[in-house]
Amino acid sequence: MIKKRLWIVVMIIIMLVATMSGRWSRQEPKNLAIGIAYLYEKTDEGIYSITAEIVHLSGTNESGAATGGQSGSLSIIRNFKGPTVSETVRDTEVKVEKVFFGSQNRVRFFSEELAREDGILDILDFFVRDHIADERPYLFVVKNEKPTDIFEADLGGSARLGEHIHHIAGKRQDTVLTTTFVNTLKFVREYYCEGMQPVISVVEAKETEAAYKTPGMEDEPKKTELVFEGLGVMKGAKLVGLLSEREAMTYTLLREDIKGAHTSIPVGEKEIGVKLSNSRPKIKTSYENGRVKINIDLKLKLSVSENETEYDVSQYRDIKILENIANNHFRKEIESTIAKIQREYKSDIFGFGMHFHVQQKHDLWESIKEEWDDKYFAEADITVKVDSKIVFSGETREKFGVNAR
Amino acid sequence: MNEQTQAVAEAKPKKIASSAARFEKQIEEVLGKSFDVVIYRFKTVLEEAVIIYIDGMVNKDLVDRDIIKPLKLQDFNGDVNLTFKIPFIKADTFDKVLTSILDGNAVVYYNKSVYSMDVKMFEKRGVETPPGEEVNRGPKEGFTENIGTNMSMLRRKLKTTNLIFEKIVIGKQSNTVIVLTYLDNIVNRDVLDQVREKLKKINTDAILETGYLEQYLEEKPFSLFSGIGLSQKPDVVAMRLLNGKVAIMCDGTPHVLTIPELFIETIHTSEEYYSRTIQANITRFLKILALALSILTPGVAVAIITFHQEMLPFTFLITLIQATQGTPLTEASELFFLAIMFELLKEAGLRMPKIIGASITIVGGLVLGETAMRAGIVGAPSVIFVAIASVASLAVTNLNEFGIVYRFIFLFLGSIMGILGISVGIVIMLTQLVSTEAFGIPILATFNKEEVKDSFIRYPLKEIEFRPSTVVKYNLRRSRLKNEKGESIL
Repeated sequence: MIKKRLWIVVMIIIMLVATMSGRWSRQEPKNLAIGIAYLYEKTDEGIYSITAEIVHLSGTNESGAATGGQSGSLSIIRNFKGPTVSETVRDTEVKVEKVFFGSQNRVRFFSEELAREDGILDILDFFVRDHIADERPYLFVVKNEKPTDIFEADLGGSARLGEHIHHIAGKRQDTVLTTTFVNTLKFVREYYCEGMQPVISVVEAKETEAAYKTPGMEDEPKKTELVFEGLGVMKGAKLVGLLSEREAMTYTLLREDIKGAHTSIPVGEKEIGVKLSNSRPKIKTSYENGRVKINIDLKLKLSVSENETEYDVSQYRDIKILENIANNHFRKEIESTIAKIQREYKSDIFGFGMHFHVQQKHDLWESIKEEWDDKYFAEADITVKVDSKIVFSGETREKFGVNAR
Repeated sequence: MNEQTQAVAEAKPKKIASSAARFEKQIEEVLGKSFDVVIYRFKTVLEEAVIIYIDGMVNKDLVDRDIIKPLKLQDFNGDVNLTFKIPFIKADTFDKVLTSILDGNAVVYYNKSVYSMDVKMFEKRGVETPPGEEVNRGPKEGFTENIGTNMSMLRRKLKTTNLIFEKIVIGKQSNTVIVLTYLDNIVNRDVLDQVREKLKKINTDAILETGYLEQYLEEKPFSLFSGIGLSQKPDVVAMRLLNGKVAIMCDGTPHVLTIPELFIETIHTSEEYYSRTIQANITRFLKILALALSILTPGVAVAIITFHQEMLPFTFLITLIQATQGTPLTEASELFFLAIMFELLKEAGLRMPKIIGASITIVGGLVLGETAMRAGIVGAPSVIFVAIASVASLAVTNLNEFGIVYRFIFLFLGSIMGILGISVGIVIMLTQLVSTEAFGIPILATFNKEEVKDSFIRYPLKEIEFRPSTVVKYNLRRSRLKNEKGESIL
């Protein structure tokens, strides 16, 4: 009786082991080469060139020195080449003795040339198809002439480029107005969404004068630093244009949830600094005589953080004046940016088409969706209404120094 | 084999001899070879008398004062009722006489009759706190090896006529007294009958401990649960009797069996009922956490580390790689090695005398953990995982064998199949638990509306109004919170 049941249990285990399609990719962690940042380029001969930042581990068994100590580099930069992405991966197998591990990848860079000319579709296909590569890494277009310069930049407190970007993007997502951090999942989602075009984050290694030398470090001070400003406008999987810092604000105000981003509003000659929070705008669409009309109703909450002007933010009258100034400021910014995108890039990154699709008849959308970006979005009449509210004037009321003794 | 006891056990019904001298001879034939048996024939004013007892098992003062001295008095008139100063019973067959002697009674032959008197006194351990069941709050006393003391301890807890002690003698050589204990108005009759039947069928040489009984009573020797609980404390046993269980005490051991035992009860302690509700629930939560940790930690660790590195936080992955960079073994073999070494250490520490045991633990912990890590044999994370499992397993010592077996099963499955293997293991474990029955009661049967009040959680004591209905079949109500009109009594 016991033997019979034991047999049944053993048989069940063997059947489970044999038939269930588990992950057979057993891998000891010590044999892994962890890539945390990859730069994708295409050479003039049409060959993919992938530059990877691999975590360098010194191989000590001292559990205390987990960070690897001060001396020595914490990451290795390696370059691999191949006619396709997967053949480039094959190239890694003969150049690195460890197995490449992509699941902890933090960031994917594309050269501007690659993004503009070939698009990133083939590379994305590889990411989505591969079982190890996942959807968390952020996507960036590198503005530099020589994209590998980003690996040379000063990273502030971080040790590795991948981690640096991961931390900045993770923590600053909702407090930055001038850019937005797009991860692979967001990109893929927007790419597949009807009536919307994706955007991509932009990074540039810019020369800096403030090259501080860290005490105790032997290395030469780095001459460049990373700047995250603006956005890349995509059309499909190809880059069609870059937005400046000010233009990117329009995108973040209309598409992101901002909580307490610092910005300033010009008031005459002077400025008033505010912390800004938004709520997703109400977008109303209509269709008349072959033209699309789009009404944007944006609500903003402002909290005064600095007041250079003579207005007294404790007074209702002054608050109303300031609110009006803010409304006009943001309305103008938004209108001019949208107009520029309509005129130059013809790519609906704001997802107006999605709202149109939802609000209008399905047949109508079906009939115009092919031409949405190039014709209907580009020629749409867009009206913007901004409703700002100053909800908090900070810890004090009048401008500092006013009514002093 | 001892011929005398053999003779005792297999003697045919024999009549008692008709004179003192012949009775003495009769006894000597059977017990004479053992020098601890005292046979003393003496004269009284009327007829000869013989007294027989086993040296070391009786109180000699009592024998002298209350039996021999009155018989030797000049004014002894032959009336034993007046003479013996202690209660006695008449033994009518020779077998009974022998049993009585071996039990530790003093036996007196006078005028063709045999009188057996209980004057037992032998060396015994005092009442102490049983190791392993210590409590901060609650009674500290534990059972002893003496069944009389044990019964009295229970009697003191439950002063009711419903408390029944049934005596069953088992063992051809040992004639061990087994006491079946239950509360007549609450006990589950089915279980009681089953247990009684089984006990009576046991035919063996000796019962030296309740562990023998446990193994005779259990249905599946290779199951990880016998469905039989164990305690050394009278308050715990009393509590279980009140929940409709049957207790089995055995002379010569402080361990008392309680039947049936459900799965969730193995992690309960008496202190959880004595302390306040929140404290009790914290303890229960920790115990369940400890159970899960002790079984799953090494298995899940190896599954994630070798199959699903993407689940690890980046920083931890880096630390892990750094720590295991120079080690020769794979993660799975490291964990196997350390888990086995820990079990070895635990066993060594338990069997050693206390002072050496402590040093074994220190040396073992230092040598195995620290030095093995520094020498580059194992990585630090493996030591941590096994340590977590080990510490957790010490918090649920009742489930020791269950914990060990499943820890290794999960370790094995995790190392060949990853998280998928862990899921398979959980299915196997749950299937086994669900299909296990203790004397007809499923051991996982704790999940009805009333019983859940005392399972993973414990409701305030006054709200647990009913006994567990999976065990108790009648007389369910334990307490009453509201009167007939629905008003709260308290």
